[in-house]
Amino acid sequence: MNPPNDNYSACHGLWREHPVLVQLLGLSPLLAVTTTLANALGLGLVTLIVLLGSSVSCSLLRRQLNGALHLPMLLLIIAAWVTCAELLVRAYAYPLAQALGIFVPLIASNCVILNRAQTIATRHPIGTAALDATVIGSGFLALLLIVGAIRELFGRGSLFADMHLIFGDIARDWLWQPFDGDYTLLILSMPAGAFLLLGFLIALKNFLDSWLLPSSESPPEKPIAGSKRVRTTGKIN
Amino acid sequence: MTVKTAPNRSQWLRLLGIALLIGTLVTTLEILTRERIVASQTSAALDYLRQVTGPDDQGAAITFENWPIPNRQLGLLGLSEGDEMHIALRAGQPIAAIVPSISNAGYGGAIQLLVGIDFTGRIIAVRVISHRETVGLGDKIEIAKSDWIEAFSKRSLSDPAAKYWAVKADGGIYDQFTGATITPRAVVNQVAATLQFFADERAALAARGTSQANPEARE
Repeated sequence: MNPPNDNYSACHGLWREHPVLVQLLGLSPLLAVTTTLANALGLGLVTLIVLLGSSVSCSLLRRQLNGALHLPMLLLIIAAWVTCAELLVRAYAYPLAQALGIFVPLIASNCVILNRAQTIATRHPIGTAALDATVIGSGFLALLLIVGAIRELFGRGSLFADMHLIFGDIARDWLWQPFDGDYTLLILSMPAGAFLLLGFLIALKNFLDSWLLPSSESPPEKPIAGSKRVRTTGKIN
Repeated sequence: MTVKTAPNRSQWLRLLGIALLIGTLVTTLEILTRERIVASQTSAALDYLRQVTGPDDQGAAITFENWPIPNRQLGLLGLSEGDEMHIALRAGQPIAAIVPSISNAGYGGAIQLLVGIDFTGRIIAVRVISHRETVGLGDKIEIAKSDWIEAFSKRSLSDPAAKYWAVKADGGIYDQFTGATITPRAVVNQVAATLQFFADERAALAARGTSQANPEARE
């Protein structure tokens, strides 16, 4: 475990420490559910809410959540939020619950949530924990939406299909089919295609990083000639 | 700073405390949402009912009633006590039974079916209400993914004969999916069991329908 990072910045979660693009966490829902934009939006929103809830409660209880048993305690809290989310989705958006199926309960196994609970929420006050959860959850949601839109558009030849699962009947005629009716590209509808697509997106991000921000990673400073290396323990701010 | 020592009693107590707190909260929410979830399931089921009773082409409106399922049949249908079937009535006469039926022989747990059977014993339609079969393989039992489930339409217990009520791998007439035999086998066998249930109970159901339509003729 790393010591608490005092110069923590929440914004990094959107790009430099993106949970999926950089840390490669939470791949299972990303690959399995994003066959349509509607599914991606549904799962992304539920994940965001669960992440926010578990981060805030872990931060509230952070004085209790330490010691050898902190992991089972965190998992209990996360599982509780997931169970509540599943009950609420089934009660108020039953068709969405059917469309997402097992992937709503499986949010409990999304490592992004445990990662944020362990590294941020249990070490920071509620405000920071909530901000971090919002940023990380939005970054995750945004990527789900990108992958979902690309897969739906090029895999099934449509966009905004099934949006009524989330927005109700007014969304029934949002469906947009730019290609002709029989168009499908099966590989993109399957998890393997999603994996490939994610690889390309990560490559794109790395390319943008090296192209747009060439100076952000300055080369390590050269030791001054003649200086001796000093061994330090602990952290110097 | 990873803690390597064994958890002491106070840590176990804290874990227990959190478990109790969370258990209480989740149970409360479950009780609060239970009614609403059942209502949502029922309204989704009504949509399915209209799918399995077919288009309303005879003019008179179709209404639905919930009728009890005899306890001795619950095992065959994979149901539990208190579960009901739906009867479609036109002008008070039962025209079709929509029987919930659950197979536990699937690959990923229970497969919930809704089987619509008309009173001559022929299937109107079968729909999968919920399942946890493999995405991309077993989920072709859903009407949204494939029209495989339409193969049951107009079938009855004698068409095909009992030994052909099986997937092709077992010598029957129903297709399995490439890479997935367990899922379609579970559905085919459960649909056959549901037809058997209806054959056993049809006389009693028709009698109940007649006595309901003519209450004064009831003894």
